[in-house]
Amino acid sequence: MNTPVSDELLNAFADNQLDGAEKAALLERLAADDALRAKVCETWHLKELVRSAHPQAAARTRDNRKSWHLFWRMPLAAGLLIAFGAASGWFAHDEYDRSWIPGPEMEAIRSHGNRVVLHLVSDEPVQIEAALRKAEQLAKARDRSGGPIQVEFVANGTGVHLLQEAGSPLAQRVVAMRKTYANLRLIACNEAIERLHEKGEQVTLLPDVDVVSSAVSQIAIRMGQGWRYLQV
Amino acid sequence: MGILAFISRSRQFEEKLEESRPRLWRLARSWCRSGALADDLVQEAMAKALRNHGQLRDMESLHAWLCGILANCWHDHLRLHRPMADIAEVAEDELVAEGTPEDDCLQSQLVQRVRRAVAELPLGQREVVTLVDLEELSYADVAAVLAIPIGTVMSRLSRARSTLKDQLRRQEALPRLARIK
Repeated sequence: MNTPVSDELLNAFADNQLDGAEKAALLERLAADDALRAKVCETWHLKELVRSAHPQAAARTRDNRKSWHLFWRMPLAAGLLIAFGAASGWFAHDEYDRSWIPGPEMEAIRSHGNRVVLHLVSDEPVQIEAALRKAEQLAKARDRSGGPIQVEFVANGTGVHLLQEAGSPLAQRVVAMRKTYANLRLIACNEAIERLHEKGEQVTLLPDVDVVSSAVSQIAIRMGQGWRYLQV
Repeated sequence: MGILAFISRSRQFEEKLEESRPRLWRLARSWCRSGALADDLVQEAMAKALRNHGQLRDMESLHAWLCGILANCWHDHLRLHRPMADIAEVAEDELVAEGTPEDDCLQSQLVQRVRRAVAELPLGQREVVTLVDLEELSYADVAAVLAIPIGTVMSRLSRARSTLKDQLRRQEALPRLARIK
């Protein structure tokens, strides 16, 4: 029978660190094993808790400590005036702007048959904004021959709130995006909806949102079919 | 063109460095658990980055590179205070002040519980979990930043998450597995 899956391997899957044969083997196991999927879900939940508990906004800076770079800035000022025009925009989007998918990742999506699953697990405003921007960027993107890219936007955990009719200030934006991009599919996880029900929340989804029994299963299936996976 | 490219790269480096400050501070704060010490560590790391910016091969890897410099500054600090200790196992409660004002002001109990659970992890595990979950570095980058084998990254992460899950489940900050289904 199947050997137990190590925590290290499950972590690597949850952190999107697996590739090739290891990932394929684990995807098969996940598709057939509720308990294993629950563990992956729990790890995603934990990751989100850790992230939410350490907001970047809590960072503080000391103005009097910024003087260190003045000596660097001044001799360059004249050159910068000339260079500024050429330089601006080069790094308009980079790894620090988490709501933008960088070029190499877009290329990876194209080499995965122009298909991508974008996964949202949280309703934290920063995450939601990043999710919407990424979804739109992906929906607008073109494959190498100019055709559209297939995008599945999968929400579970509190991320389901984004796809809700009631209480979602971003609902109109989501609906407009769905109408604009025929290649964008919105998917909510039923397990997450049930958990919200258990807590007494009424969940009414936006029109054109599909429901799957489990987000993890859906992601596992898509990855098994060769789709690229991106977590917001 | 050469000069222009150099100047624009320098400018971008400086801007990116400044933009990194809040993220580096958050990371330093989660490692040393002291806002004041985090200020000093980030300041030192940024000064080092500025001095050595020629060593950065491409801007794409700037953040992992900065995390590596910050980790070195932090480990140097620990060595200075505890020259004989194994850094990964140090219980640094004695080295830094606990309970900064912002801790007291935290409104969310959940946030407090999670932060406390992370803060109570052994340092080696805490470093790995914050680099993976907050900084979203790959395991290979974490291994390079902390100068440890990738297998050690995975085992520390596994122990850290196991501890965090147990503790947060006990405090009902994380649903029990049976309820997740």
